[in-house]
Amino acid sequence: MFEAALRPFRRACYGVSLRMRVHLRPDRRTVEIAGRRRVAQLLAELGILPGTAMVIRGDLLLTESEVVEDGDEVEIRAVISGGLA
Amino acid sequence: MKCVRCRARAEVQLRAHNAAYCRPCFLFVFRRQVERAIDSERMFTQGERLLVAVSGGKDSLALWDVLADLGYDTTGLYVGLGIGVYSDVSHAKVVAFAERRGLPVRVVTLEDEGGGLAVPTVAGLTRRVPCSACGTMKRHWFDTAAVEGGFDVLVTGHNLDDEAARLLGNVLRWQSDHLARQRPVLPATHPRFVRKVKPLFLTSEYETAVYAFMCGIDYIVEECPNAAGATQLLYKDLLNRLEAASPGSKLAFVKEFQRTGQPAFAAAPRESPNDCERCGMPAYGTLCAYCRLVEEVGRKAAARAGAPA
Repeated sequence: MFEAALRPFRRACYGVSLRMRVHLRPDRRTVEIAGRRRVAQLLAELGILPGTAMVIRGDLLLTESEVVEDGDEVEIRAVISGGLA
Repeated sequence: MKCVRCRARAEVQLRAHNAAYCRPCFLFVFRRQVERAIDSERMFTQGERLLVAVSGGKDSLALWDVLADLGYDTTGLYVGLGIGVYSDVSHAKVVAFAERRGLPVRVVTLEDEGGGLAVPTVAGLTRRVPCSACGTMKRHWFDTAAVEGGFDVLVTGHNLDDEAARLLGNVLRWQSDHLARQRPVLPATHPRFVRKVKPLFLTSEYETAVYAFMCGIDYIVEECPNAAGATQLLYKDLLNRLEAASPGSKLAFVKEFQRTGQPAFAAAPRESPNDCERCGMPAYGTLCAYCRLVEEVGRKAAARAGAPA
């Protein structure tokens, strides 16, 4: 909610639309993506299966039907663990 | 998307259950799901002493959190595997969680109490897959700590995804003895064993991660460095692809196995174990799996020391 409120101010300050920054964990990798899309589409573009990662914006989790857009800071955190053969 | 219980904005979508929940409703449903698993499988009662195996990961810490909230008498058990920074960080997470919640925790460090046998050393000397050596060692120290600490039950954080992956592996090789033992409750079948239970066996790892996130539990997000390429991760990936195409497949796979398949495998006559000549644990042969591993490590370390440079 806080992130969404900040978005127009960020656009005004920077003069251009910022891309969305997606932080992938545990990979410790960040990718920048332009354009508005649903979370389901974002996951599909990144090759992440539904139910294998949490999508976090601020302190909120996003469902697959939520929309993410330019200026957003999003964390995608994998939930898969294990190894025991 | 709206919460199916209260119509507020949903934060979690559970396709396997065809449901979505807001934060308060998800936390309620998660705790109730764990409670129902404990009750329906008669895992333990309020009067019993529980030893909860905790790794610093989301599953075991979320489970410990729920059990403590439900008022059970819990003690955490952390086994330090000697896997460098990963072990240091996971140890710190467990200790911090225990302090924050005011819960007792026991720490067994393999390098100190396990005769210097940290997982990387054992895997390197025996050329076993690290996860295989790790599993044998952890099980031994879990059982030892539970019996020596006078606990009634050993609780582990195995989740639905772990159980589905294990089941797939056991079925692919038709390991009937393993299938007979794959249950959410394993009774104490030997004086050196306590009852072992898995209250999260029908709870997906997505759900445990969400619970940990919502409760602000600081768990280790990084994967064990030895797990890369592990068979279980391959099985999990296959099952997740199946789940994406057909939500609820994992839950049905595990639930129906427990209802129909497992009793048939358990009914087959099985060989009774002996007592290990060294440690007294159950053994098929003269030594248990852990003591066989220790012996192999000793033999190979001696051979390496005596080998010409």
